[in-house]
Amino acid sequence: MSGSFRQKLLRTPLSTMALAGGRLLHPSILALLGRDVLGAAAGAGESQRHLEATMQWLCRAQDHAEGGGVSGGYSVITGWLAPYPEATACLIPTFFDYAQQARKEEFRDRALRMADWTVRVQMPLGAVQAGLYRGEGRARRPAVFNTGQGIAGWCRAFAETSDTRYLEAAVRAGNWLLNVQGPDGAWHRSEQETETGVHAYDAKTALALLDLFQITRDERYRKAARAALDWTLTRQRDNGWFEHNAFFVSSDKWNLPLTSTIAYVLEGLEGAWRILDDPRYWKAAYKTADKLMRIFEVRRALPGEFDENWKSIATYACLAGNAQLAALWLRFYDTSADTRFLNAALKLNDAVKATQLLHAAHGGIRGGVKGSQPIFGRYTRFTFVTWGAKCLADALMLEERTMASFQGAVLRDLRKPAAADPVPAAAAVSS
Amino acid sequence: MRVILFARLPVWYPFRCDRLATRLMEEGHEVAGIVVERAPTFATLHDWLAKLGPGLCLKKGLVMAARLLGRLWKRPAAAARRRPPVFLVSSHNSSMSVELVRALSPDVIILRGCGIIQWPLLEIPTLGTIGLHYAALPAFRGQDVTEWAALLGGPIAVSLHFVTEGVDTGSVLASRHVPVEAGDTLGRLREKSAALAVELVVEALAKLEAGTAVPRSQQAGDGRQYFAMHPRLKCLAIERLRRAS
Repeated sequence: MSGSFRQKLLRTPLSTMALAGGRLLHPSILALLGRDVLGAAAGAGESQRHLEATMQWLCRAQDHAEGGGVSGGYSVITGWLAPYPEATACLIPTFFDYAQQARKEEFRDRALRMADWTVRVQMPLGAVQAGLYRGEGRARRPAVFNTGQGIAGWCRAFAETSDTRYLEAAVRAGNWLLNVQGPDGAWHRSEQETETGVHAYDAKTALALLDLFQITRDERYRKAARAALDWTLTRQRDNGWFEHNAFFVSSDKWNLPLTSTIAYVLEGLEGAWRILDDPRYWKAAYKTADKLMRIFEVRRALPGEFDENWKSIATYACLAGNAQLAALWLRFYDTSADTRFLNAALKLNDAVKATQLLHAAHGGIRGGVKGSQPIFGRYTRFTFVTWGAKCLADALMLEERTMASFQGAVLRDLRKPAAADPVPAAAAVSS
Repeated sequence: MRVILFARLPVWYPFRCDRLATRLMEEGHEVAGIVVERAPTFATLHDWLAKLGPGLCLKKGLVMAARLLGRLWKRPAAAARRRPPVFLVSSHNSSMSVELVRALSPDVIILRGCGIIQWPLLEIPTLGTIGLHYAALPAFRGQDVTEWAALLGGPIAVSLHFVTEGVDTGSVLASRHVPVEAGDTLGRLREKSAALAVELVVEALAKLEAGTAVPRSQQAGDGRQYFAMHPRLKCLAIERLRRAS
C-alpha cells in the first residue's frame, strides 16, 4: 500500500469508512475484487454488446449528477463522484457519434444537456475548471487541458446545432488559452490536478484550438496551436518517448507518462496532421504508435506507464490509455494501410472489454471501465472512470466502422495497397 | 550431413513418426538428435486445433496412430528402423542445451517450430541454422504468416532461411508457392506447407552439401513482421480463402 493511499485512508472519517464497508459487501463488488485479486479474466464478447453496456453506464453516470453534467466515475469506496466538467465536455462528441450510429435520439438529447451544463459551469475567465464540480461556492482553478477538451466539446455541439452559445463559450475558452500560452508555445502553469507545470499532452489542447480555427477561421488559434505542437515535437526523444508527459513528480504518484497521457500526445499530433497536413506531426505520432504496438505484441499486454527507455515495472494497465491507443491504432491503420495496427487495436480493445462486467447487478460497475486493471492498480485506484468508458466507447465505435470497411475491402479483393511512402497525404484520408 | 532438429512439443509426441526426421534419414542424412523443449499438452493441443481445425487434427491423429501400428505390424525398412535420439531440454537456449548441441557437432540445425534461438547456438553448426517459414519472405515475417498471406491476398508459400538474430531476416535458401485448390482451408494449407517444407529441406541440404546453394539475402526493412492474428481477422482470412477457391 503506497504512503499517500495509507494517509488518505487514515484521514477518512469513520462514517465514510462505514459506508464504504457497506458498498464493498455488495456481491457484485465482492466478485469484482475477488476476480481482480485472483487475476482471473473474463473473455471479451461482441464489441456491440460492450458498446451498449458502456453507453448505458455513461447514461447512469449522467443521471447520478445533477443538471446534465456527468459524474467523474464510480468509486467502490465512496460511490458516485461529483460531476466532472472536463469529462462531460469530452463526452459530447461521443454521445453525438453514438446517437448517429445507433440511431437513438436520446443520446443526442443527452449530449446537448452535457453541452448546456458545461457552458453553465464555465469559469468567468473562459477556462474550464480542474477537477470535479462541487458547486459555485467552492474554490475553482482553471486548467489548460480541461479547457481544451471543453473547446472540442463545444465546437462539436455548435457543428451539430449551430447554436452560437456553444461557439461563444469555445471562443472565450480559446481566448483564455491564448492569454496564458508561453512564448515557446507551451502552457507553463501550476495546476490543481498535477505537480508538473508543463505537459506534452497539451498537444490535445492544441488540437482543440485547431477545431476552433476551423470554425472561426481566426488565424490566432491556428498560430497558437502550431506553436504548441512544434514545442511538443521538441519533447520527443529519438526512441519516440515524450518528455514532460507525467502528472506528478513524486514517486508515490503517477510520476511516469501513462499510456493515457502518451495517447493524448499522439491524438493531438495525428489530429493536427489531418487538419494542417504537416507530415512532421504524422511521423512523430507514427513513431511512438508503432513502438507501442510492437511492445504490446511482444509482451501481449500493455503496462500502464513507461520510463524514458520504454521500460516499465508497472503491474497494472491503464484502461483508458489502452482504449485510446486502440482507437489511435485504428486511425493509423486507416492512414498507413498497415493491417498490423488494425490487428493490435482489435486485441487491445479485447483486453479492455475483458475487464468489463456486463452482467453485474450493481449499476455502478456494470458496463463501466476501471481506471486500472486490476482495480487496485496505481492509476485512479478502486474507481470506474468516466473518461475510460468514453475512450472505450469511441474505440469500439471506430472498430465497428473500420472492420465494416476492411471486411468489405478484403472480400471484394480491394485491399488497400501497402503504403510505399509511410506518410500519406492528409487530404486523401477521411477525418 | 549431420543434422539436428529443434522442436517444441509435448513429451508424448511420437517422434519416431516425425515426417522430417524420417525423410532426412531416408535421404542418407544422419539425424544426430531431436532436441525437444517440452511444451504443455493442453496449450499444444489448443494451438493445433486453432491452426488446423478439429477435423484435420483428428485425421492427423489417426494417421499417426496408423503409422505407429503399421510399424509394430510389419518390419520397417532399414532406414526407418533407425530412431533419432530425442533429447529433452528445459529451454533450447539453456546452457545444458548449448553443451549438448556442441557435443553433437552438427553441420546444420533445423528449426521445426520453436521459439527464438540465441547466438551461442547459432554459431555451433558448421553450415548454419535453417528455419522453416510458412510464407514468402521477406513479405511476411513473424507469426501466423499463412493466415496473414491468406487475409492480405499474398501468395501462400514456404520458405527456408538461415536463422540470424533478427526475426526471419536471414538469407533465403529456398522458397516455393503452395498451390491453393478448391476447398482448401487454412488448416489444409498448413498441412500442404508442412509437406512441402520437408521436400524443400531435402533439396536445400543436397545443395548445401554440393556447395551449389545460392542464398538470397534480405534487405533490412524489407517486408513486415506480423504478429499473432486476432480471431476476427482469422475468420475473414478463412472467408476470403473460401471465396477465392
